[in-house]
Amino acid sequence: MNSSMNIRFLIFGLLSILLPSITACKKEESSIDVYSQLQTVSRLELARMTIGKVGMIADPEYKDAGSFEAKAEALFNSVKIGTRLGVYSYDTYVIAYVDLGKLSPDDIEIDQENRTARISLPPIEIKTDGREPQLHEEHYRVTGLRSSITPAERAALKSQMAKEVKRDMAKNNNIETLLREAAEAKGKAWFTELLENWGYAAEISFK
Amino acid sequence: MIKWTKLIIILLVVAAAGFLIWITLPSRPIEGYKTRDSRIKSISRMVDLCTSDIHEEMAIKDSVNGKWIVARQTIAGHIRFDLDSLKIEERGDTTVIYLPPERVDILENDSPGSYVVLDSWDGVHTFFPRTLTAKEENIIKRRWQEKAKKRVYERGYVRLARANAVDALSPLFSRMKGPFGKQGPVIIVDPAPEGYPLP
Repeated sequence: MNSSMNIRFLIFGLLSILLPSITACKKEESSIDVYSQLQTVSRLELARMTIGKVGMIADPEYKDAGSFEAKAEALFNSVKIGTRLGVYSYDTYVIAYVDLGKLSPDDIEIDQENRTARISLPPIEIKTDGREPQLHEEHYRVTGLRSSITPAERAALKSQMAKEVKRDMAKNNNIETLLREAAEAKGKAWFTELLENWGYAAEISFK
Repeated sequence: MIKWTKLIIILLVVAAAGFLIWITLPSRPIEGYKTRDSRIKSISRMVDLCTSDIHEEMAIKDSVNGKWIVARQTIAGHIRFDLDSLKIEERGDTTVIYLPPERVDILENDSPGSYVVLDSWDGVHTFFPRTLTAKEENIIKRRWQEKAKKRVYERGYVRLARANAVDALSPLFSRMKGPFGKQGPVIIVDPAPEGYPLP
């Protein structure tokens, strides 16, 4: 009788020492679990922007010519018979994504008792995805004795347009802001739903 | 007198021929083209998992209507999975998630020199050669886009991208609650490990 009482006391004593540390361990474990589950995804794309650019191949006008050579070219072109004009466009695609590989365990706080999760996701990153291979001909008017617009000229135009798209993107903060906002909104909604399914009321933010 | 008339006629013919040649000669490439500022056309929200990026430089040699072109093009390819359109099935206490069809996007790299025309000529008419139009050039580009896409499948990039997607999604959805809000086993199934056939 006495020995069985002693064993019970011993078990109770051991449990009272071990239980708090087990709970703490569990708390830490669940945030590491969530971290390891999320960071395997790496690049998750959340928004895509289409940027249009229009360019024109036409004879340079005298008033636009800077150098003597260009002025002479403009003068010669003005006496040529006919018109030479082509208007082209293409789209560039820009992606906003979150790299979950950059997530750290410190970015995740899990409260098992209240079933809440607070996650601070890595910042939204923006990159150009590529551009449309095709160049759309919006307008073409080559008349009289003028030569047709060549593929080399169109390629050169596209090259210049690509430079300008990069410059416009760097200059126009609106492009990045709008894309970032769209990506953050989508990311918050998606991760909240995912965490809700895991049984947590989630609070998602981006760094 | 006749001698002088002949000389004047010859001079006039030479001058007229010279003028004709000069006005019909291809224009020199213009140094600064006129362009408009870039404008935002659309913004779309999605949840896409991108598991493969492809960068490749390819030489294009092709013809349409007897008109040829040789060009160098740098492509930017991506293999993606739309996570908003996952098909989820519940079998008993098990949740089965099907990996969606891959989306293979083949685009042109956005760097300025990603498309350079090396040569173009008319293979049918030597005299008064025709120029490759933008429409014809687009046909060739579309053809090569399809060829590049086919190569992505042949080289096993799609198979690898799908395997990577399963690896990435398995831990992400392992905690997913199944029927009746209970957490049960979750299986990610890839119905087409080699990828979905091209149309």
